[in-house]
Amino acid sequence: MTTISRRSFLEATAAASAVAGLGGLPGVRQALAATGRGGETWVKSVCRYCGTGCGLFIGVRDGKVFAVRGDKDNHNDGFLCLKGFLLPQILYASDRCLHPWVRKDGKLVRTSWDEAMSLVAARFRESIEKYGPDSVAFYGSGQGLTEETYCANKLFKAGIRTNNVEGNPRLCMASAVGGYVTTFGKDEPMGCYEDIDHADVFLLIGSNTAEAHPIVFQRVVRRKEAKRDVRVIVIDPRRTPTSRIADLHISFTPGNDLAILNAMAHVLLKEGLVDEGFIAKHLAFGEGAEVNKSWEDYKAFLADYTPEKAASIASCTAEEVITAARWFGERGKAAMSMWTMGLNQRTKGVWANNLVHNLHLITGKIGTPGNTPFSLTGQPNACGGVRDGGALSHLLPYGRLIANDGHRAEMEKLWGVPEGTLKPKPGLATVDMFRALESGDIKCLYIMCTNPGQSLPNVTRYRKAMEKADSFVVVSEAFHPTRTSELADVVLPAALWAEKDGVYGCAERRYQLLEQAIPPAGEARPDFAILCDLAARLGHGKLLPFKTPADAWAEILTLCKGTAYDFTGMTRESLRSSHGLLWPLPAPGHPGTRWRYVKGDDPLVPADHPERILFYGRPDKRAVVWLRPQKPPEEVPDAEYPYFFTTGREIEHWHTATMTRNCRELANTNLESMAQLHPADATRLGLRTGAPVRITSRRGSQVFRTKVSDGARQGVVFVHMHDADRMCNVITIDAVDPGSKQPEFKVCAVKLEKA
Amino acid sequence: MLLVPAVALVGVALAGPPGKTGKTGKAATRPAHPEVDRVEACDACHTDATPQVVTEWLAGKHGMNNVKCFVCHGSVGADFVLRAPAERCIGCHAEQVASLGHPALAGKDCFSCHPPHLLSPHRLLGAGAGGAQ
Amino acid sequence: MVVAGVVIETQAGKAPEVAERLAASGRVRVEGGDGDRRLAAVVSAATGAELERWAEVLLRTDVMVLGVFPTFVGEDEE
Repeated sequence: MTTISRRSFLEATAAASAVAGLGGLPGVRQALAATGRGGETWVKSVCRYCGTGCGLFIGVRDGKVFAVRGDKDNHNDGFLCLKGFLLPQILYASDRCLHPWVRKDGKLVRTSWDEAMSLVAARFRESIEKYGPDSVAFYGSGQGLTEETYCANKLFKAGIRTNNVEGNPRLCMASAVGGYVTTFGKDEPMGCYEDIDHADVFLLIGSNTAEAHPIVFQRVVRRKEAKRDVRVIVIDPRRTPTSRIADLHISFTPGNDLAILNAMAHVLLKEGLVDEGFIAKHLAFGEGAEVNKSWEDYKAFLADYTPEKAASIASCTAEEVITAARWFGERGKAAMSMWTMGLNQRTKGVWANNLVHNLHLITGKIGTPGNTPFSLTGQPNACGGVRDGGALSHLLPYGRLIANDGHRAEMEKLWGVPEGTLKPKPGLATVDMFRALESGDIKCLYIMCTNPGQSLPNVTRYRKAMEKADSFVVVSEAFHPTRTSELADVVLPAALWAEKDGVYGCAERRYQLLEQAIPPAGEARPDFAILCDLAARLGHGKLLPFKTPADAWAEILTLCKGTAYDFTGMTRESLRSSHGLLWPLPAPGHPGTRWRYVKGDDPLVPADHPERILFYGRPDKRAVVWLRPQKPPEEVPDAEYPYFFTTGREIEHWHTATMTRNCRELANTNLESMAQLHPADATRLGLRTGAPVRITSRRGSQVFRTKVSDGARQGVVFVHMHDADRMCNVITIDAVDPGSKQPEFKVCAVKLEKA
Repeated sequence: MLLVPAVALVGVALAGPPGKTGKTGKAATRPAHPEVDRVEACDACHTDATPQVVTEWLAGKHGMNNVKCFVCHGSVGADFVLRAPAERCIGCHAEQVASLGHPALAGKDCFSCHPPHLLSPHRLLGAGAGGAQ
Repeated sequence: MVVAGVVIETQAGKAPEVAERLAASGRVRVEGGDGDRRLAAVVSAATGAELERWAEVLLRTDVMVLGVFPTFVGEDEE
């Protein structure tokens, strides 16, 4: 009796607790809503690092950021990479720049905001009056917020009246822009991250996705786990962690991938894997800068690019090229290609981009889910702020060109400035801009949110240009010293990430609002406020009359209207309440566009268009297949400089590591640049891991410690770009792609000596 | 997606040491491991020093996606934690960590159910490493 | 004898189907559910270890079951 009662009691209690538990567990999600328990708040934002643009929430307790967590409702499905997870530490770094500095008697000393800004304004005014507007320049960043970059672009082009407005995306994405614009007539990818979930074959070329874009890589991994016959082709001279998921890794001599891509097209053609119907309806053919070739011409051009020829040029095997082409071209399988700096940072970068597009175009593998060429971006707002916002020396906002009379007239009207205000001649692209600083043609340079004293190619030359007495260099930066701020005449303390609000646009045309979570550190100010202040001091206050970044955003919305970018519907409120929106998004309430040029998804394609796709970017509504021959890099090894030198990233660090080196865990891992060598090369040179080796190019020399690695390719030495003390860019070449003006960071020739 | 909060009755409840997430500071100048010199990742040595740990890590989701040792364990020296507190997991697994607050899971941490390093989702318990994911 | 109250988390929409299977097993008494992805149930076993094994087996064998959350565990003195 007792037992039965006891059991009944237990069962009743168990049942009651379980039923109560039904209500308890679903609350987990709600518990994670913006306002948490115990005075914690969670502010919606975006990761500060790469161009993947992962959504996250910033946890604030007692006025301090204590944690971040991934946004489950954003494209990253709640995941962050190891850098993103450690973001809070960057805000409280010991080298945060907390007050303005000016150089006095050769030394940077603390000063007030007013003194610093007065000096900047006076020096810029003086230079403009004496030497004209083109004696000053702005060098910005794919990390600035859209509103900040917009203010600088407007101030310099419409106020000061110089087109010397550049930014580090020139070092990063310019060739991808060149590729999209020449092939499709419009910049930016047509696909999106969601394509990863539909693709059957991935072509990863010139991308160490696993380390440079970990959350994109993770999505590829998930796709591969979900569908067993998904194949991954990796084309990269080195065997990197990305190759862990490769079904085929093609290693080749740097600079020869154009031959491989053309040979893949050759195989696709030869094996009947091309889509003749798609070609006839949607494609045009060109060579050089002219769209004056035919499908027959292209076939004749490809005839020479046999897999055997490519194999002999690139030192891979013909079988590898044939396999890659067959997998890519297999009928009924969706193919997605992704690439980044390996193709872009090249003197043939635009061509390499064209050749990837060619593969998709001739097979018709474009514009359906999983079929897309997709360029990965290095910085969180290179796309949204600089490319789309037109903050380069040849661009105006949202696809308009400096050199186009109609575009200038349109912008003058939109900006309310007199006709003829905007100069018709493009300004100087990045490398030329720093050369003009060297020659003295540019006297004053305003650098915002970037570190060219470490990140420019052939950096010693341009450090001297920044350092010389008659160059007036202003650096607005969240950290000090950096390898650039140490050369500055004025250093302005900039607010960082969670300390300000604004919009970032990532690689997939996704715009997202970063909301301010905490006040700026010390005396730091958002770049937005600094630029508005500068405009007022230069007499251009009416051009930047904004009180908040939201005011600037409202103006930006009027500029994109009617362009291919049209995101008029992305009001501040809709950005605040969403988890990222993809343009075009021409009206409030529009869901945004996952697949551009595609009927039914892209609002710019008429609903009654007879075909599934419309390449509206070009006047003839066709995408262009370009006949681009294999050409070697600017500098190849010879008897004196017998090794290839190439640079890249490690997962723990980002760019010049001004942020990541301030995270304890990251500072202790892979921060020092080492010379990664193949065991055979190391043996030949008598080097072991840890042994010092001097790497010398025609431009400079630097000692690194050796890291012997099976993943390295014979004859190629790799050094990462993150180390401020051992700068790989002392060695790199400053030759640029003639179209995109992007430097060839990825390939030059060096000699190696025991040091 | 199999990384769901699949928390079962199995496993031993162990409370982790108090978390450090949110403690801010400057870059470590010199880690406590005398031989660690800011050059390589932990697995450079631990492949030999603790091979099972590295093998299991590589076989699991964290290894595949380059979620390296320090994400859970912190840095070396005073920052090192042996058993990662749940706060170190919230970057990617916030919902799951929040579920630990449920009375049903009192006294448990992530590793009560997910084997450390391999970190397989529950349904793979006993099914071997890297199974049907 | 150990008696436990548990919440069983299932794939979205699969709770009723899982409930049917559990009820048919005879070992579990389903007390309620949200009609979507959660069930409340009472389960008994000779020992705590057996209860754990049951949960483990359920997780391994029923793909629709994503988690078993104990809400209460009591021991009958006998």
